Amino acid sequence: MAASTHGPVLFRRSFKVVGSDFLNAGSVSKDIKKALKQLNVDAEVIWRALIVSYEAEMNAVLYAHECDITLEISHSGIHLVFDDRGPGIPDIALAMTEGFSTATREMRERGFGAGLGLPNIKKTSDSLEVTSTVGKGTRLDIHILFPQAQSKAA
Amino acid sequence: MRLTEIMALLNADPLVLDDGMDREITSVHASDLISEVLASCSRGALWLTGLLDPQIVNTAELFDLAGVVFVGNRKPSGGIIALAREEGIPILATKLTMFETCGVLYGKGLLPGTRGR
Repeated sequence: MAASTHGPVLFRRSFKVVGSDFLNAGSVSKDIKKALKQLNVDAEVIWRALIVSYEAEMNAVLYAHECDITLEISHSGIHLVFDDRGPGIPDIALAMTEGFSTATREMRERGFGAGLGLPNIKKTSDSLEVTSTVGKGTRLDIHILFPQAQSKAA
Repeated sequence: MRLTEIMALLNADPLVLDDGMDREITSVHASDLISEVLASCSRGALWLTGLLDPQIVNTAELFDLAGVVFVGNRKPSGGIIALAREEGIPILATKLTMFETCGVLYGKGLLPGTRGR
């Protein structure tokens, strides 16, 4: 896999998102923001991690039944895993296309369903691996490298 | 441009004010799609929207936006206002349409929100 984080994990936290829980939607990303700020992570990296985590969290709220989220930080960067029980994605390549969306009218009325979620995650991260089984769920494995690790990888 | 000047230009009602009213704003997002704002998100930008959903406030807080202007005479619910107060996100509401609001602010030299700006 390209551009993955490596080295010992210095910080690990797990979170859970419940599908359709709009009242608490965004709270995992808020917790991630707090944790990364407390750990003095570079502002640009926090910014990228938040775009990724918020898009993935909202995808979980909108589409999944529930989702386990793991945040790991090493010297080289941030590793985020979103592992959901949900409908799965039948055609991952299509889901990665900007503008493609299976959002319902209700989701669109809430400001979601632009078909930009997964493309935003891919653009903003250093690597994104999507695996999915229809009827079971989807797993996003995401790495965001710290600037010094990025220049070493280049 | 300061939020207080923007409020006057748009003849907007201040629904939630905070200490950030004097913050300098240089860029603006005009969108009803949250992912669209995230895709081109610039720190400290002002967000114009007609979308009345609490996620607007959560998004503004997460991404350190300068504030939200609800356009087209839309009135946010008490829940949205309470959340904005809690999170310290300034909220304005104007009778001007999205088109008119963009025109006024663009004419005053504000720029579109662009990643990294």
